[in-house]
Amino acid sequence: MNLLTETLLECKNVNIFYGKKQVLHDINLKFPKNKVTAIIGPSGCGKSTLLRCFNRMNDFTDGFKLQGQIKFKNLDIYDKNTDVPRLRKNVGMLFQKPNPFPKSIYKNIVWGPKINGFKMNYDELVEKCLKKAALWDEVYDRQHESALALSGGQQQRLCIARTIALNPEFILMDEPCSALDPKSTNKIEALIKELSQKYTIIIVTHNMQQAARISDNCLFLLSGKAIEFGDTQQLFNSPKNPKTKNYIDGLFG
Amino acid sequence: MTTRKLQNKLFVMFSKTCCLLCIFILLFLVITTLIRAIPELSFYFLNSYPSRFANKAGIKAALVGSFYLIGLTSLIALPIGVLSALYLEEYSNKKSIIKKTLELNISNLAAMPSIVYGLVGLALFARFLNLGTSLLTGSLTLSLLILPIIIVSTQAALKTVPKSVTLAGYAMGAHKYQVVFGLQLPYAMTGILTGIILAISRAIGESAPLIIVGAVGYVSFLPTSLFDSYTVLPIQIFNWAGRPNEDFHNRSAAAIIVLLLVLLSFNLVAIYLRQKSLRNKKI
Amino acid sequence: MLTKQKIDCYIKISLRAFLIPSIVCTLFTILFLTKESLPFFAEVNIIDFLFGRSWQPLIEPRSFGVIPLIIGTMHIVIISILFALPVGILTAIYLSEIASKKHRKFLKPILELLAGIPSVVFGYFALITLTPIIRIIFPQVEAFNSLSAAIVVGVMILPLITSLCDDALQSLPKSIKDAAYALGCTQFEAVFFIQLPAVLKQISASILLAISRAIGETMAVTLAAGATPSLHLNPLKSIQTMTSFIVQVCLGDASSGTVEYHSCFAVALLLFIITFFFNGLGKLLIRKANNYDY
Repeated sequence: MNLLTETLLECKNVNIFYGKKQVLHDINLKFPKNKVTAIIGPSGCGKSTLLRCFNRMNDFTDGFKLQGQIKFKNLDIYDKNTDVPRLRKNVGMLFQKPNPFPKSIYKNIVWGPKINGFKMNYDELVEKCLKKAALWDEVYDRQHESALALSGGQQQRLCIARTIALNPEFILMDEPCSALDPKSTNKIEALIKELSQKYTIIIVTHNMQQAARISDNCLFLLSGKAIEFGDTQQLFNSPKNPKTKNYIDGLFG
Repeated sequence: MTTRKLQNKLFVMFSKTCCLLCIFILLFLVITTLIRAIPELSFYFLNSYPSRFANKAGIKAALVGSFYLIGLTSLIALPIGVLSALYLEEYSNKKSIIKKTLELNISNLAAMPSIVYGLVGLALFARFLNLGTSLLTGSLTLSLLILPIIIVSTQAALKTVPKSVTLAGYAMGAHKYQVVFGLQLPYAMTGILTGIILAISRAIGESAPLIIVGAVGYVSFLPTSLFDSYTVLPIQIFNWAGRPNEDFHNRSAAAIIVLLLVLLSFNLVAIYLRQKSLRNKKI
Repeated sequence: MLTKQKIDCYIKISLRAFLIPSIVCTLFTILFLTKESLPFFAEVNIIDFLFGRSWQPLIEPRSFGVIPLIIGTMHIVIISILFALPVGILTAIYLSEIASKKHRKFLKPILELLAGIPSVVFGYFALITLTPIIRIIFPQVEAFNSLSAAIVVGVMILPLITSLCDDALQSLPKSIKDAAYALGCTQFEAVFFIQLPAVLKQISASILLAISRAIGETMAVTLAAGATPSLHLNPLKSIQTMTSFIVQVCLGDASSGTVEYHSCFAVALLLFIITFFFNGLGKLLIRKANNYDY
């Protein structure tokens, strides 16, 4: 990995437990800035769990315990004094199933900035975000209608729009296309590539082809352990670890 | 026709008859009451006080009394009920023993006969707190009655908020109060309002607990302070129906029609709200 | 400085403050009921109270055996359930299985209207309209009788049974019905031998909750059933229930401290315990039914 690339997020000796069960072992990683990093691996290996640590969404799960350090811009995010809502504002998240608020499209985008105290021209903000999310042309004339009337793919793009309205530095994506049809998936993948020029993206996916298409770096997780982490093309064409090779060749999950 | 087919035909016929029976009973009740009531309904009826003479008796005191009583009861019970439920559902520790005992208590109280509330109101508010047979006692007693209903229905409405919406809110850096008041409460609002309307409809029709705490049947003035005596529409109905004089029975019927119209309008608002909430949440 | 964390904190504390009246109310209800009944049990032996067969608390010679009131209440409960149960279940079956979606859409609100009618209206109806009708069939019926009161109580508890059973039938997975019909059942057989047995818990729960409601019903019985506590089983004669006794005392001149006043609370405590029992059992059955994973 190119050490000259700036590191934004770092995991140091991270071990994660749900109650007594350990789900992630000894994770030591550095995630580079302005790149798309994909986390791949079979179902249940801990991909989503690791992702949700980065914006402390795992706090809502009973019995969650973390050992080690996760540093965002060199500050431990699990420190007692961390301003968690502020962290979450700076680290956006896209969920597996699109979950727009039951409000209008306009209000969906404006809600985040409003509660975080951003003072700006909201109309401009909404237009900018919808354009960036490639949704403007489809909804410009019905911004004040319910977001729930949109199709699945459109709802997910709206979720992207409302995430970038907060201008995060990082965007976490938890299998964002798994609930969508292939056409919408293509649109979103193109969007991810474009967004990575400005934002750093970590995407969990169980679709290896997708990871090969859109990511710069790839992390392969197996049974809660980080098996291999490196440049995507290199990982797919000449993986260093035999377990990685087995997964890619299709012997696993 | 085989026995099985005959059995099936009879079954379908019986079921349909039972359903129609329910509708028939409702219509029968309303129409027989309406027949007695129509000659009595007039503006004079709405605007006069009770009297020894049936043709001079009116429901003004009862209507105004009901209005004041329900207003005061709502003022007391609604904030306490909704905010308690909000705390229980969103802020309290799920495993706390206090929470579990309180919720158990509340669900049992929600099904307690209303007359028992009357006795508690009598002992606690009228005698112990020395509030006597006043409007305040009546509304405190009714608040006691509808409080569990409001808490249970508010909690149920808050439970319908999808977890995905809540998590999305937190993921955007919202603090707890912003998620609760900016996302969850608005989503649950129509459900909460429906519960409130149903609780108030229940309170409007209550008479047993109020009789116990001393709402009397012959009030010829309008209450001007919290400590005045009062009467309400259901008690006026009870009072007149219990008299041997046939004319008072007719006045009672007329009062019933007025009461039913008030309740009907509340019910229609509740139905409208429920339709509106279903429309807004269509996914 | 008013940070968002501080706002969160203040809000939590304020909401907690609103919880206090709720806690106080629930505690005090049970407390006061017991407190005011104790003087009664100081004067009257609890065995005499629970098993005595003569109830004459207001006139000399006084007796405080509550059985007549219980028998009076049972008049109401038994007759109302006999009416409401079959009609309620069959109506629920009709709404859930037979009626078209359009019909169901306007039939359900009508039943909700029935549920919303105050009990005093039913009391009026029983006394003024129903008793004269009963007199046509049974000329010996008294002006106050348990039959007309029980019939209207039956109408009052009917929506309860219907809505619970309807919800239960609706919650059954369609696969169960499909399996039955694929075997060549008629609708009657599918309903009675497959669907109803599958929702037996909910049906029993609805009966228990309806019984509890019938026991606690006050205004209809006060207006139409009379005030004569007795041990007879004739529905055409007047009776007194636990609830109408309480109303009778409170409409009279019972001053605090007298045995009559406290007898009210003793009967109310008994009422509370009985309805608590039926309610608790009913809710337990519903919870058990909902825990099943099909």
